Amino acid sequence: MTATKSFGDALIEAIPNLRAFAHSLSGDAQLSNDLVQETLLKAWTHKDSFVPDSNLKAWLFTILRNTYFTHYRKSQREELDEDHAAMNASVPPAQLTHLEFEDMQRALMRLSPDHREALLLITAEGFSYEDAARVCGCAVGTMKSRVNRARSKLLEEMSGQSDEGAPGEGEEPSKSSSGL
Amino acid sequence: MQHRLDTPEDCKRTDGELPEPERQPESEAAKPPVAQLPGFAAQLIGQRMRAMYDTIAQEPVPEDLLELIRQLEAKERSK
Repeated sequence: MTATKSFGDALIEAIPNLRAFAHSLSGDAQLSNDLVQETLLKAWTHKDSFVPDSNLKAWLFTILRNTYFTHYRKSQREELDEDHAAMNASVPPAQLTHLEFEDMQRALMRLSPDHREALLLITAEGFSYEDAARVCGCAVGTMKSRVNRARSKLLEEMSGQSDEGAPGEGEEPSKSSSGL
Repeated sequence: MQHRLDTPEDCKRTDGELPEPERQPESEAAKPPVAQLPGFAAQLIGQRMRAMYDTIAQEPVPEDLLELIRQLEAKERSK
């Protein structure tokens, strides 16, 4: 952040990426807006704990993913609909056809949450492995492994080779344990 | 949309730095290694992922999110 940019301006600037991450992670357009709203409120409430010129984006992403996994654990108890993503997909993209967009989102939602967030942070958001590992509270090697597995699984899903039906592979999503 | 104003552990760091990784790989370490995908396959997945992601990122920001920030700023100014 520069001296001329307020904390609010910085938050507004981050919203598009936060929405993209939240939507891709949750597969739900409405939920993603709720997650972003909650993230913004938490960030504002605790803005004094953020040091200017440090990595605001990573800080916000960490809050968002922890908020999502809190929600995910609750919703797991209510059994998430397997086709949540497709039903709640937002407006079809200009770059991909509607079908491609839905296929991609559906395939993404069949990854475990840990693998999905790893792939999103590295491949879509462009985080370094080190920063992504910090956001997720895991080791760099674990992050690399997750991305590699996620790519393989996604390729299987997209080519119709996967015979594993349930999203998440029964894995429990992790939460950064040291605060953010 | 609900406004939750609780104080989670999510934001309590005081230095603004990223948290140190504490959780060690558990299930990942137990799994057999996965072979690296060919470059073109990883590239294809990357292109598709970014296309989907960028599409969402380029959507107009909902007015209520912008309004939320404005309200928070206005509330702070009025203090």
